[in-house]
Amino acid sequence: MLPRVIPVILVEDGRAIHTVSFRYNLYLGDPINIARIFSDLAADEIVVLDRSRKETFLEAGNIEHLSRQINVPLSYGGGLHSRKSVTAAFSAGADRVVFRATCHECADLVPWTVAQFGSQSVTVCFNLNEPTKHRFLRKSPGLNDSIELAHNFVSQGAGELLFQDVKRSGKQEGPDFDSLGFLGSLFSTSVILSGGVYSITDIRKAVQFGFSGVAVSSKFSREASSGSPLVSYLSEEERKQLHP
Amino acid sequence: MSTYDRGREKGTYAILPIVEILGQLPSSNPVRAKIDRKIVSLSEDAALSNPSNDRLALVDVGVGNWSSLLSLLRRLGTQPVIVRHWKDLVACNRVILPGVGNFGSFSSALKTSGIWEEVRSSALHNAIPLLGICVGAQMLFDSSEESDAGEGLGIIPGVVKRLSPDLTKTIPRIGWDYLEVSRSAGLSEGVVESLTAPNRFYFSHSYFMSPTDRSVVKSTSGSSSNIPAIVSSSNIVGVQFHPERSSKYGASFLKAYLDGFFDAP
Repeated sequence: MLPRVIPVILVEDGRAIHTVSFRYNLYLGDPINIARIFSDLAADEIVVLDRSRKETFLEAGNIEHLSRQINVPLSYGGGLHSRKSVTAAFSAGADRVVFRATCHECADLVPWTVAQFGSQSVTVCFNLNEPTKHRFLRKSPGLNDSIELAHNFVSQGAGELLFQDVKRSGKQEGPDFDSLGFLGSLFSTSVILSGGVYSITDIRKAVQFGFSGVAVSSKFSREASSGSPLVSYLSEEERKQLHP
Repeated sequence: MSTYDRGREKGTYAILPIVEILGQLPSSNPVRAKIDRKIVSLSEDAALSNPSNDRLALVDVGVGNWSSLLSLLRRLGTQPVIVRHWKDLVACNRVILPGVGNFGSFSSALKTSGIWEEVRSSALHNAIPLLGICVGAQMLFDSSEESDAGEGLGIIPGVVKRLSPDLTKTIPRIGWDYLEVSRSAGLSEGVVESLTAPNRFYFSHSYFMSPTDRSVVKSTSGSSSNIPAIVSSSNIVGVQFHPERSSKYGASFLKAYLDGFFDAP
């Protein structure tokens, strides 16, 4: 399999946004337009992650419109708390659904989705190094707990794991391979790395560590020097470096 | 000439505005089911009034992801008909069977709708061109290790087996790959060109097609080229990858397939 370079579109209340460590929102534009551009640029896959507080992008019927606009694989995560919402995501055209590992309903939804739609239709996402907003709020599981949880989900049939390093997210500093590189060869399923991936060297290094691909946000959604919104994807030159 | 005008000339003009409306409605909308049924009946009339019209059926039994395939087929200039019941297949002269999900669920849904028998009969006895995609391609075989109860169409002798670590590094096998095309496959020039690198295709599967007769394998993928990507036997073609999600490469393959899969004698 060729390494996958996956643009992530983070959606909040119908708007595509860019964040640094999941904070400081920068408005990027309309998610459907952005997805269409990624598709036209032959992106390997598009991941839409929705963190809307009210109506999700799926509930508003927009995933269906988005899916019809693209001809590359689509993964969707956000607000998937019931079998009905998971079925709705697939009916709307998602090829894969993304569950957050700490979501309470996951214990039921992961095996059910695997049985109904197959292992290849399920990605479980882990947020690593997530800062806690308040000392009384529940902390995200640490790395060791996340690995144990991941093994558990894999045994239930989850077909893909997405590890997001929240601390590095949006910072364009490169992934923390020293701490997280070993995750790439730890599981029998495909593993995607997210957080700080910015250069072709980062992507090639991730592949060397055994990751099936990388999820990228900042590199493909902002102009390098000014930071203004600008949708782009791998150039042909960069492609050649990845697929020699 | 616009698509609308072309449709009017072919006698299918009544379908086009409805298709446009359909595209704006979510799948859960009850009006949409009515519109889908209307499309089927209107296009049946159109096909009967214009026997030369290439009537392409896109099977939807509720477990396949057909909407993206529908968009692609429309972009390629075809007017596919969404088929949810066996009766709607009767007037069709080409069938596409897309599939996502579990082999057993898909088999059972095909049987409940009556499409299982109709597809089998039209492909085997009436030589109607049939294209199976992903689980739709696996359904062409006798059975699958994915489901003890699920019965395949049995159009191509063989079984569907679970991928093993000696075939692929990760299971399920998700991602893009180049294809190896068999030189003796007899595929048309257009199809071979569409399958040749740098063109690449999107796979997402945990099971693979294992035909009894290896000569039906026309193309393979995988690091050792050991996973069948395309199988074909006369008018039947099965593809393990998803042309509808394989960007411009999938579109060029599908176009070449519709233009003629095999090399003309």
